[in-house]
Amino acid sequence: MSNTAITVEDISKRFGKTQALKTNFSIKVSTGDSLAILGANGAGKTTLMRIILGLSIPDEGTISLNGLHPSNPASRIGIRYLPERISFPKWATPLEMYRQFERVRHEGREMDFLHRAKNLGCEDLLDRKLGKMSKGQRQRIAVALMTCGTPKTVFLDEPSSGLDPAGRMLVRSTVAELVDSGVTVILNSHLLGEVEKVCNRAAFIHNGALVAHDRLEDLSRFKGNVVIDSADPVSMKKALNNLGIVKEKTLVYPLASQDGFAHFTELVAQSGVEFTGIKLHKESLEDIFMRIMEGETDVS
Amino acid sequence: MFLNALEHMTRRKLLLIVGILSLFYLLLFWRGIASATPDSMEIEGGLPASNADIAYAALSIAGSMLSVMVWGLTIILGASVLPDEMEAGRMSIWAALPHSRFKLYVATTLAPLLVSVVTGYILFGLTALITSFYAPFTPTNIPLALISMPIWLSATWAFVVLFSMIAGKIPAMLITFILEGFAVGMGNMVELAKAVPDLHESTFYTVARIVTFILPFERGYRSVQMGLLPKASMLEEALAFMGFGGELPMWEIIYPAVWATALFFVGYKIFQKKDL
Repeated sequence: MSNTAITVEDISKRFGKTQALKTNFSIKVSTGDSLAILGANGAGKTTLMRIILGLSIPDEGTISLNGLHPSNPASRIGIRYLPERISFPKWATPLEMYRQFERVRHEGREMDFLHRAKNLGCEDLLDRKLGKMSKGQRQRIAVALMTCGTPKTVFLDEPSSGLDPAGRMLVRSTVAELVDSGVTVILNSHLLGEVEKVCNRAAFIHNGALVAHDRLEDLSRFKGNVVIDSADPVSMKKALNNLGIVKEKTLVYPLASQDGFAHFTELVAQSGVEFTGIKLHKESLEDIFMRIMEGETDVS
Repeated sequence: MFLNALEHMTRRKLLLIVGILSLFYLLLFWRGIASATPDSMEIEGGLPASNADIAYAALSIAGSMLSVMVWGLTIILGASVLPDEMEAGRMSIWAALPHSRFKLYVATTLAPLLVSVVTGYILFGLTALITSFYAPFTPTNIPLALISMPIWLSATWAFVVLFSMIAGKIPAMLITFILEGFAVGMGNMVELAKAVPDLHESTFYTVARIVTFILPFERGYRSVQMGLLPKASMLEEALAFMGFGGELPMWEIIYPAVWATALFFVGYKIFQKKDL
């Protein structure tokens, strides 16, 4: 079985005068990857997702989903899609909606849905009409409907939209659970802090063009410092030539190159001062996002 | 998917409204027909009306009202089925499930047609049944009436579904209502020409004939009438001078079904390429 879940080759898409995705847009997603699609509003993130799923037809280029063209229904076996905006029928209960989806996908058991709903804190809403729920409650149900059972690939477009912090946390742990169980996850979200916690890859789209696509750790640049967690950062500073800045229980120490990190770790260990952690200070996803969106597309 | 679409259709408030209106109409009709006796009615020349005449009159009048109701239901349901699902964002979820676009299109759009046809059967059937209690009659051709019902409604349905994808829900409803009215008028003209042969020479007749081919919305309804109305009624001839009723050759009965099928596939071609 191929380990490529999605292949997008040289696609472009235009809506009237707007070039939603520019020519030669290509991207590959391996099975089990968790890819964040990032970019400013209107960059083309949702369009990309919809093209991969066959919901939108590209003007040119080829798509392969599970090794098949998206127009082939078999390509969507095990695929789940949660769009950014969905309005369920007001008369339906979550269980009724689940049964409607299962009439077509034949992939899960009602138990799986109940389990997922419980994990998302909405098990007591299953018999309530969707029209009588708040936006956040409906969103939790939507996430449960689209992530339950044994999906192969899950497309989530702003899954935390309209959720309170507790809801966001539950959605995040649901996504993390999917990732841990080997499900390919394609996530479109503006909550970079959450994306950073669950995704291992990111694709940055800027004005319809793919400007960066790599593993998160490879996209993140070294910021010239090492952060050492220690109960006594002052003694640590003294032991390391009195360099660096003490911030609460950490010492931020300058390091010319990340290549010297292993050697530096040995020095810290030999200093005799206790420490609980040591890591390179690298860009956060937010830093990367801002750098790329400000036009610096060279991420090497 | 068809069951899903049907469930969405049947749980719409519109159907409840149609149900209540239908019940109200049937009760009124019951009262009306119950008070009609052959003695209470006489036709041209002072001859007493037969049961067939009463049934003919009752079913003609009721049929016009019912046809508007069932037509309206078909237009509203047909015009809204695809735009409503797309607007709500549900169509993209349905389309992301493992079935083909053709299956999705067929299942989604056939549901409103089925609802309309069943509503038509119920309303016309009950009306004929109530009529037969008070004015026993023999319909001309029941199988023809049964077959013609889906043919009649499928022409409207195929047109309004197709147009809803091009112009949107409300414009599709309005345009279909207007064109249907126009087509009915032209259809009456064509039937009138059968009773007044001189009309065949007029340009107006030619235009009317062309319109009934381009927009065969009312041909099917005429075949429903042809099948349901009693044959041995003297009113038939009298009403022919108003463009009412009329017999259609077989090809004209089948033609709306062919037309609807063609439009249905044109609609699918649009749906196939549509961003959902």
